[in-house]
Amino acid sequence: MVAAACLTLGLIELRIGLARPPRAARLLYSLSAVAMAGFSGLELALMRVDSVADAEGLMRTMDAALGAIIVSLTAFIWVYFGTGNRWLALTVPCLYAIGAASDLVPGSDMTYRTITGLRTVETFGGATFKIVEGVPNPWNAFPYLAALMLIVFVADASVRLWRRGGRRRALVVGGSIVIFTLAAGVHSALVETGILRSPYLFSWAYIAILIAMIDQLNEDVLSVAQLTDELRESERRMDLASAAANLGMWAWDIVSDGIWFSSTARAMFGFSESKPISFVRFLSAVHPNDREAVNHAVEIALASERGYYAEYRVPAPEGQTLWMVSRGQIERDARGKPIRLRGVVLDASARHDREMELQQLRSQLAHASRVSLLGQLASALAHELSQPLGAILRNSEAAELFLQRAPPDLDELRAILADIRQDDQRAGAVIERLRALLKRSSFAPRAVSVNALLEIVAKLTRIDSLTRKARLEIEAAPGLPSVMADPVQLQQVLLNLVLNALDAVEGVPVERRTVTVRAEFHGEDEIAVAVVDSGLGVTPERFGRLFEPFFTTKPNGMGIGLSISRTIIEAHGGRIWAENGTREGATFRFTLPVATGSGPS
Amino acid sequence: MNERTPVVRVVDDDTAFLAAVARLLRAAGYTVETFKSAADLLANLDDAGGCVIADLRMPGMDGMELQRALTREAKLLPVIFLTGEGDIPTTVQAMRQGAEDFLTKRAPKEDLLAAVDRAIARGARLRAEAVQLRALQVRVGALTSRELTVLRQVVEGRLNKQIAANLGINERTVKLHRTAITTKLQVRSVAELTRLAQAAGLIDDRPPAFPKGQ
Repeated sequence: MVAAACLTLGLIELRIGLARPPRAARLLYSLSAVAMAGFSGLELALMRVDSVADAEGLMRTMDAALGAIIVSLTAFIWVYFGTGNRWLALTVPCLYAIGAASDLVPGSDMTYRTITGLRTVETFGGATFKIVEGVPNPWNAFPYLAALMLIVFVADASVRLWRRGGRRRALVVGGSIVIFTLAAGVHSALVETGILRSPYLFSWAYIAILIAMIDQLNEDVLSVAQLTDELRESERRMDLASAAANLGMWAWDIVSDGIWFSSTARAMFGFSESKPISFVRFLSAVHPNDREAVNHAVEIALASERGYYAEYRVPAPEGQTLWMVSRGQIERDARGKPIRLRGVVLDASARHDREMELQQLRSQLAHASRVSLLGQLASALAHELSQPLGAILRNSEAAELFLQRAPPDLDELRAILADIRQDDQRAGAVIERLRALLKRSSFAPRAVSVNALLEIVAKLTRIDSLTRKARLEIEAAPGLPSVMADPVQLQQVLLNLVLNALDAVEGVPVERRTVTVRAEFHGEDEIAVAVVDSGLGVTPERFGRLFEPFFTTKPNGMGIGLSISRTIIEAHGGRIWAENGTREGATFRFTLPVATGSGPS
Repeated sequence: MNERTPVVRVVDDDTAFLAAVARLLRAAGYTVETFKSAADLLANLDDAGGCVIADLRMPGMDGMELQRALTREAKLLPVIFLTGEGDIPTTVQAMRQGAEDFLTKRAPKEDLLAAVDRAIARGARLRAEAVQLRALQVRVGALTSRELTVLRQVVEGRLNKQIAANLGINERTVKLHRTAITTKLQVRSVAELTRLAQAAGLIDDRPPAFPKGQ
């Protein structure tokens, strides 16, 4: 019965020990329990032994089992309490090993030098059992010393644990081991000296430990159950909170490639399975055009400390598209290897729709303002077109005259045709610039070279500066990187500012009329473009209202240009402001973030 | 004055257009010189007659300023202005300032050539008149100051008796002065004398005021 109980408990602990910490303690304990189960079997066999030789063999096996019990109990306390004295712990197996060495001498064992015989004893109930008789072995003192040391070691470890606050464990586990060892030691000493005519009954004493461990185990199981309840409760609360915020949670175990999703997140992606899914399965739920971006975001998170950030679309089953925003943090092991990516995902579709609507409105307004801007540029552009068109006309008229000659000058005619083609391209370029500005397009930012943009603006405003007899100077710092911008809208801002500046310099004598457009670095990740004029500057009371819609100082102005410019620049993540020059004129300056990953352009 | 071939001088900052116009004019038989700016033209101007074709809008000195500079320096070169479409305000302004010939850059060839011919002819006339005027000024320069005074009174329509009274001299002396004047200026009638005096700038262009009854 004791054997069965020991075996059961041993196996339970073994099963738990494999799954849960403290693994080592549970394994050691189950080892002692299994050894004890074996030992109690041997005890039983010894009661029924028939020959001296068999008894000798059994005794030796029992010595080995006892050794396993003592050593495993020592190790168990060492690991489980963590407060044991190292030297005491080492002394226990050493002492026992010295005693057990005598088992290696043939014809003797640790307890008896020679077994003289077997005595049959009758119990009160009439059942009989055998008792071994023999000459005591002096080496037998060592196992007793080992047991004594075990008691000292456990008592010492228990006292220390008690002081540290682990009172219950120290009392129950430590106490039960001390009692077991004492009881077993005293009993076997009485048996071996012949005072008590009884078989070895260590296993009964082990019941104390058994009870203590069952109690401790119950305690553990109870606390685990309680913990599970608490966990489940907090998870429910978390789920409730995250569902209310439309926030899904996820954690990607990178090593095993399993992504756990909270129920909210599962609903967002349309995943039915509650078990973790692979990264590839997750990616298949993302819109095909956004998969590369998600992959890239993951790569960045894995390779750097910047964390994970991705915006992507998820096609919903009802046919509409959801916009997701997801953020996460990487968790690394001691060697810095990424082991887990944990984060949240938010369904930002509603916000995205609002933003799109706003952006569309902004684009429409920007377009309307561009059309009125073109009104200002119209006469200049007509002139710009009349140059190449006039040249084409004159060239073709000249060609007609050359053809009337006999023989016609073919070289001259070829030169004329080449010139005509070139002028046609020039006219086409003017029309193209116009078309770009007139185009009603949605906000489409891309990497744009500021220098190239300044050149176009200079061409578009050339005639205007001529008419006003102002010098237009372009100064671009060398090696400026591209900016992330919608080229048409950015051109619109520059045109607004340059045309305003040209208006401003009309108030000063011709020789002082200068407008300078300057592009330069502004910090490390921004570019600033300044439009500097030599006009009369802005009066202080007008400063605060410059960028307000419908605020204008011009007789025919609508007051749209600067307010649209501000809207455009801010939509690009930049700032725009005005300041007066130290001696003359005003400067309008705006900044734009440098396009990421762009070199000099 | 030398009678060199008239030269058509074209000024435009747009080299392609400049080359095209020059090519057409040469093909039509004119002698052409091209200039990239007004300043370039003024710095390299020779005595040859002809005309100037200038873009109204140019960096630096524009067409109107070029015309003023030519007038100031008494270069007798009529200017034809070329304008781009949409230059109406500038054109109006230029016409107010007395510009004569305006053509858009894409005006028909016939119009352009006719304008050039007209300008060259006007230039030639201006130069001829200038020659006459200089000869006249030489003749007028031969008159004494008293003869000039008498001349002014004669063309104002005064009678010999009135002139004599005004100047406090004998009527016969007035007659002698008048004979000397007609001899030096080689005129035969008072009408001819009046026209000549006008051309020489001795009197106003205004028609003489009729005496308002005495």
